Amino acid sequence: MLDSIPFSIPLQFAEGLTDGSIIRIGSLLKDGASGQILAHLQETGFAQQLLSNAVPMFASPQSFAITQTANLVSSGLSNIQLHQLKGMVEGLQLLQYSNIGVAVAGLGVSVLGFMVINKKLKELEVSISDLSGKMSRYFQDLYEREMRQRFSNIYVLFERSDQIPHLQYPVREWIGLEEKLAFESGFLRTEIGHHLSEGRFNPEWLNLLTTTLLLCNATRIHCLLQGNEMAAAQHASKVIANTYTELFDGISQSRLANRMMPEGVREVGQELITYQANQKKAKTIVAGLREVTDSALSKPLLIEHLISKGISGSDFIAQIRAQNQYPIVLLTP
Amino acid sequence: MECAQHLTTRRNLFIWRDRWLEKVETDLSSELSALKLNLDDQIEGIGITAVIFNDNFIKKKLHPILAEWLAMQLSSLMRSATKELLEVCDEVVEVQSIDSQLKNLNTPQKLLDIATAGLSTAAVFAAIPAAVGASTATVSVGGFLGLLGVTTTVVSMPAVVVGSAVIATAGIFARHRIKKVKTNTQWRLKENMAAQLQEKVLFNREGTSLNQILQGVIESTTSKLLKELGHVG
Repeated sequence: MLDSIPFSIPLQFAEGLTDGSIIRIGSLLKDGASGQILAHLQETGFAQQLLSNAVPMFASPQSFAITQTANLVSSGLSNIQLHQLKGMVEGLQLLQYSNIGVAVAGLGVSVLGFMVINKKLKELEVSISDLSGKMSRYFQDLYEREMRQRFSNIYVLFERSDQIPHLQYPVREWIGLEEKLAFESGFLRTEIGHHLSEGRFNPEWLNLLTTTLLLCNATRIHCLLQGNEMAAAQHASKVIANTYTELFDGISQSRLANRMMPEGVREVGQELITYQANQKKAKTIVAGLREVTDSALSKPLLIEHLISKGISGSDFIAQIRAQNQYPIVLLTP
Repeated sequence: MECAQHLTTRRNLFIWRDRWLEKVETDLSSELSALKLNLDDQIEGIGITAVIFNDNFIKKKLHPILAEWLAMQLSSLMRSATKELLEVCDEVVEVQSIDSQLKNLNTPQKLLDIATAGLSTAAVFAAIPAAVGASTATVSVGGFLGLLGVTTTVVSMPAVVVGSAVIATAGIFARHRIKKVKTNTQWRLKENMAAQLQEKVLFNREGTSLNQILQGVIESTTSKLLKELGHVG
């Protein structure tokens, strides 16, 4: 089955990625000198199996490697040799996998199951609820007024999506689900934009809302591919990418750091120390958002590649879900 | 393919932005130490007249050193940042030349125009005094040379009062007391100057420090270029 789509394993580009002759932008691998696309990266069902203990969205590669190695060794995947596992972890590190936000939205096309997404959403809702309780009245009001209802809508949509493959006319349902999720994405995008335009800034709040947005949008593309609406999937992926550039391109570490400063006047020296500490935090956030944006920007190219090869969306998803040897595979031109 | 090329340019612009946001702060912090030493040396050599009337000392001795330092930092940082940015833009020219799509040939010039507008030394020089001037509007000496104005006010007035009192009651201990006043004034001047420099050069709440202004220029230049790139794509 694997032969029908030009998959290969990612470590063949390891040397080039290390020496800089190959660069990764989102899910693209490009020749550093000529700019030529060498391959599209695509996560598999195996990647999600490895990431069953989801890493935080903006976790550092170091913490990711340590956590994952420990998880792998203790996970009981006894049929795979330890050195193979180490090789995979090194490969993931090389691609800065954890920075891609892949545990949230997927590298390439999302292969997350809807039950898994719902589990993640429930965790997010609890976090948002906890956070709103600690924050200003505005956030509490917002949560009471809108968020609970919105999350309820999204749960229902994802729960229903599990039935779709069993329906007599699933294509229509996939398209309908995408449309409904588009409305939820629109709400989340507006809330994120509002928060980013406010004077004060809360990184945790941004993280939670952005993660939910990523899940919704990744699933929208997934739905369109399942429905084999390839052109629509490509178009939607472009629109989503533009949304991310509009939301996140203007964010920089110095601007965020400034907005994370606590209220009230402090000593000059202390303010500088706080500002510099904020800059470090902001740098991680900005790097995470940029990865998310780059991944979104490279997704239309992946779908274009599938179209050019005559690969149907549903076949593609079935194959990458079935892949149980490699967490990431490459589609080569 | 066109979109993939823009992704590379985007990436390079962000790399440039991140590198210079950090470099501006690191370089200014590093160079600030040398400036402090230089100003401390000047304060060490302060005469007794300057102890009493240290407004004049700050204006004539310290301000010119600071002004020269600021101009040098601005010029050096912006020249290097602009040079690197043009290299990023040059890459666009090369890639598009290879692509040989006539419709894209206007793009490099557009990018260069924006880069030049955002980062030319002249533009930055024009922007900085205005911003710094705004930050010094509330202090005793206005304008670009008033950067240490707060220090002047805070430090000089007690010194004048104490100094005058010492002179008025000059007796057998006068010389000793004046020396003590001088030492105290020097200490206060150094302490206050160090705090003021940090606030004016590295960070303040209003965002008007040299570091923050330069970071703002780098950020807005990147934003303009990214928007331009988005329109092209």
